[in-house]
This record gives sequence, C-alpha cells and structure tokens, in this order.
Amino acid sequence: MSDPLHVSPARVELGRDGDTLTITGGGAWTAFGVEAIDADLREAVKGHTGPIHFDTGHVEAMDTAGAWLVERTRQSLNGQKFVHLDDDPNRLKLVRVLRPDAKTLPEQVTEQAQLSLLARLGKATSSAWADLIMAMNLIGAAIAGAQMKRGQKGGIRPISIIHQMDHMGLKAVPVISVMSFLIGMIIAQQGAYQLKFYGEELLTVSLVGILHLREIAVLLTAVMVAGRTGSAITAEIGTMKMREEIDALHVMGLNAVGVLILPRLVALLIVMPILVLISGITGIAGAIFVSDLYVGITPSQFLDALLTNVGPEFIIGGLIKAPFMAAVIGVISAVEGMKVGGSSESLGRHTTSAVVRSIFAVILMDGLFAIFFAAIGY
Amino acid sequence: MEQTEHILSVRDIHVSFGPVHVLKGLDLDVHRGEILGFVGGSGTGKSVLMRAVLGLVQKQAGTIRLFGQDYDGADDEDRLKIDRNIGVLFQNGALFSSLTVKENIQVPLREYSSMNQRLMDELAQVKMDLVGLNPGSGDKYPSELSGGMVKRAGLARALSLDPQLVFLDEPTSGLDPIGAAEFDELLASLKEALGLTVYMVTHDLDSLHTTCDRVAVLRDGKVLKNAPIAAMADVDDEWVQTYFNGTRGQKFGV
Repeated sequence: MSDPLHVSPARVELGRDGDTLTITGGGAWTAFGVEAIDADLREAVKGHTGPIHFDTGHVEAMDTAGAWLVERTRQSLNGQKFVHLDDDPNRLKLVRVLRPDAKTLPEQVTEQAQLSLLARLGKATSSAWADLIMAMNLIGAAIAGAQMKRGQKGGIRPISIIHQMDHMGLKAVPVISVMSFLIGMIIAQQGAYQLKFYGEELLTVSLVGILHLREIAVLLTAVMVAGRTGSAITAEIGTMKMREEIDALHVMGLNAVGVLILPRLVALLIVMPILVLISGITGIAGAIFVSDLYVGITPSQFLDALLTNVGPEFIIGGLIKAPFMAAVIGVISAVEGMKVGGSSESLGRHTTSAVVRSIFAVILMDGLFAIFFAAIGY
Repeated sequence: MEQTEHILSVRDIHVSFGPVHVLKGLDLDVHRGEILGFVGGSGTGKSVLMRAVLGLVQKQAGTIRLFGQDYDGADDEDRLKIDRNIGVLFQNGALFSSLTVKENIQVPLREYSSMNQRLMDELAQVKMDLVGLNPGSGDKYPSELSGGMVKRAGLARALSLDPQLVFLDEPTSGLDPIGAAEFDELLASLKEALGLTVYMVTHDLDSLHTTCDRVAVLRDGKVLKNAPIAAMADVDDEWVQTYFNGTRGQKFGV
C-alpha cells in the first residue's frame, strides 16, 4: 500500500524537441503532492501549439488528482497530437475514466456581495415586515386552529403542556432563585451604603421592594427565560423543520402550530408569572439577608417596613407584565424556529437571533409598560 | 503497510448494547479489489459491524485489521494513514448541510493537502463527473438535492482522497431501479478504474447479483456464509433461502 505521508514529492521535467513538448513526470502524483507541479504544468502548456508527449512511466504513484493533470493537459489542446506514455495499464485506464463527454467548468455564479446601504435597509425592513406577518399568523393559528387540522379532537394537549411546564418552569426555578437572591443582595447592599450617608437606611426596604418587585424580577426572569427557553423552542422547532418532521405532521393531518407551538406558548404563559413571583420572593430574601448583616435592619423590621411602604400594587404591576413577556418570547422563538432552512448553520443563526430579539423585545416592552403605567397613574 | 491480500479482516468481534448481544464472535475477511455485499435481516447488526470497523461503535472484544494493521494497536500516524485510505458513504449521505456539494467534496482535500482553490475546484469537478453528477449541482446545498444526487455526492466525497477501501451503507436504498442500476454500474467501473475495494451493506438483490463478487450473510451475530452469490442456493438456512429464493429472488434463478 502506498504511503501518503512518506512519498517523494511530485516532480515534472519539461523538454522541447523542435515544436514537440515532452513532459516527464516523477515522484508521487497524488492529492498530497500535485500542488507542487500544478502551476508549472499549467504554465508549460499555455500557448503551446505543437504536439505533446506526456510520460508518466516513472511516476511512483498516481491517483485521480495526478491523472487529472494528464487529462487536463489533453483537454487544453487545440487539436494537436497528444501522446500519453505509461507502462501501467491501470493508470492509462484511470486517465481515460476522467475523460468526459463534455466537461466544462460551470460559470461561477457569485451573488452580488456588496449591497448598497439603501438596498440593505430595504431588505431588512421587508424581512421585518414578513416576520411580523408570520408572528401574527402564528398567533392566529395557535388561537383559532389549536384543534387538529381536520378538527377531530379537542385542541389543548394537557400532557404536552405539563411536560413543557416542567421543562420551562420547574427546572428553571433553581437558577432564577439563586440569581434573584444575588441581585436582591446587591441592590440592598448598594442602596444601604448610599442611604447611610443620609441616615435613612430604612429606605433601603422601599428601594429594594419597589425596584425589584416591579421591574427587576420580571426583567431578570424574562431575560433568563429568553436565553433558556426561547433558544430551546427555536432549536427544537428548527430541527424538526430541518428534518421534515413538520411536513410529516402536516401530512398526517396535524396542525404543527397546534401540536408544537401552542403547548409551549400556553406552558410559558402559565409558568412565567410563577417564575416572576419566585424571583420577587427570593430577591427580597436576599435583601433581608444583607440588610440584617450589613446595616442591622432585622428581618422583622424589614418586613414591617415592606408591608407599610410597598403595597400589593407593585407586585401586581410586576406580575401583570409577565404573560405579555412570555407571549413575546414564545412567539419570537417559534417564528425563528419556523424560519430555519435546510442547514445546521441556519439553525444556529436563527437560535441566536431568537434570543437576541426576545431580550430586546422584552426590554422594549418593559419601557412601554412604564410609560403606560405612568399615563394611567398606576 | 505492506500489500496484503485481506484489506480488512475482522476476528472474533463482540459488540453488545446493554443486555443485547448484537455481534457474537464474528469473523470476516474482505479481499483486495473485490466488492463484498453484506446482507442480513433488519436489525441484525449489519450497520453495527460497519460502525465497529470504523470505530464509531465500541466493541467489547476482538481484533480488526485494516490494511494488515491492527487499528487498536496503531499509533496516531498509522491511524491517520488508515483513515485517509477509507471512504464512507453513510446511509443518508451525511453531507455537511451548510456546505455546497463542491465544498463537501473538498473538505478532505482541504484538510489533508495544501492544494490551491483552482485545482481543488477542478478535482471536485472530476469527482462529480466520476459519480455522474451534472456540473450545475456543485453549487447546490444538500437540502436542494434529490435522494439519488445525495448518494452520488456522498460517494464523491468518500472518493475525494482516492481511498483504497470504501464502505457503503445501503447505497441504492431510496433510488429508483434505473438509478440503482446506474449506481451499481458506477461502482463496478470505479472499482475497475481506481482499484477500489468495496464493502457494501445492502438489501438490493439486483446489486448483489450484478456487482458483488462475494456475499456475506449475517445470521445470529455471526457470518453464516461468505461466498459468491451462486453458492447461496446450497445454504441450509431458512432465512437465506427465503431471501435469495423468495418471490423477489426467484427472477434471478439462484
């Protein structure tokens, strides 16, 4: 067996006798070595008008890459005489196999790489519009067509929803609790440190209570859910799209939106407020812990101050945002999943884009809620 | 690595998944320059053997010698040599979905050699011609190809480093009879031209009759018979008789 690692490199000698070009090869003409003689051969044949004698009798090893060099030389001729000399019939055969009926390298079609700024803006706008339409379709299909395509059976699938709730909700509790606990500690510590200068350490309680319950808990949870659950939704649906499983569902008479997307959306809508509540409670717990340790506010003082200064409207103000955020994350992730094409690269791209868009949308929505609450004087 | 008659020899190989004992002391030899058809009922471990030889499935016992060399005992450099001399066509092509056909074929070239892009393009074209893919499909992505084209592109990629031994996992499944016959002819001509040795897992009786030099039958985790197909008529085994002499087999008059 020829050893591709230890062969003498490919060589070529060119000799001219009158107008006859003699090409004599040596070394190993395999895929691992022909690079060395490729340019020389190309150059030697270019513009040559006389006969060519191509001798590969002394070549140590030849595979299709080497044979191609012989065949390419033959193809480059314009009707002059070409003789290929080799005493190994297998090599002659190999070269002959490469002889096509009509081989032409296809014209390279390269898409216009650089689009003008205006064209890119236009493309982005039209694709954003298409996304919006798709999201609307999806919501519509989830609400209206939740039943099977031909309406044999009720649409809500409790087992599927509970399974998703376990994934999205229960398994997210530890990470969200720990994160919120830390954030609650940090806000309390920073707040207490600053407020100590005014002798108003007790205001820390209102600071943490209002800030965390109304804004931070819901934002933090939404970002976590977008990264954790949104990406999973996109990857799951995208993989199924890639492997034609969605098409398979469709031909079975099942509504892919109803079967795949609705359970996830419903589960997310249910677990999101619960997660926000958990985040709120653990955040406050973190604050209580630090306040006791750092500024000497005992837990009972903290809770007293919390109950007097921070009413239930702040908790409700935070919780009410949760389902909206859940819906936005779910729909964006599902839309990105449905947009996945045939390649693994597009799966990665759409998963990234689902997370980035979800987080952006969540923060934007939080801002809109703040404006809305201010306007109605809540 | 010297010339050996047995390009692949498997001795006493055992593979089990949990309590399921799939291969029970299997022996198999593949001669240089032959096309070996490997048959067996569904789920009897045809693909498992191929994957064990390729190192994709862990074997519990036994030795596998490729090109006369024990793969387990080989050092990194020898393994590299062995790997370069093996080409695999997976059942579903296993083409890289984010690369075009041309780029797929060029992956081994790009990794193992220092060729310039122009030569690689030409060689990819050569391989595509060899396997009968039309020039226009080079810039297509795998998701845009038909089943037959995927098989051909997969074969072109398997052949891109001119391996000596090619493994084919059900190469003609999913092809129409004409496409399958063309594929068989292609294999025979490539075997002639490139001196290939082919290990083919297949269910296709036509392939077994027209292209395979020998047929190995897998029964109960062992090779029951390894012989030219004409000898299959004498095998005293119900499954073999049904397989080769069933209503589908009879037209060949084994």
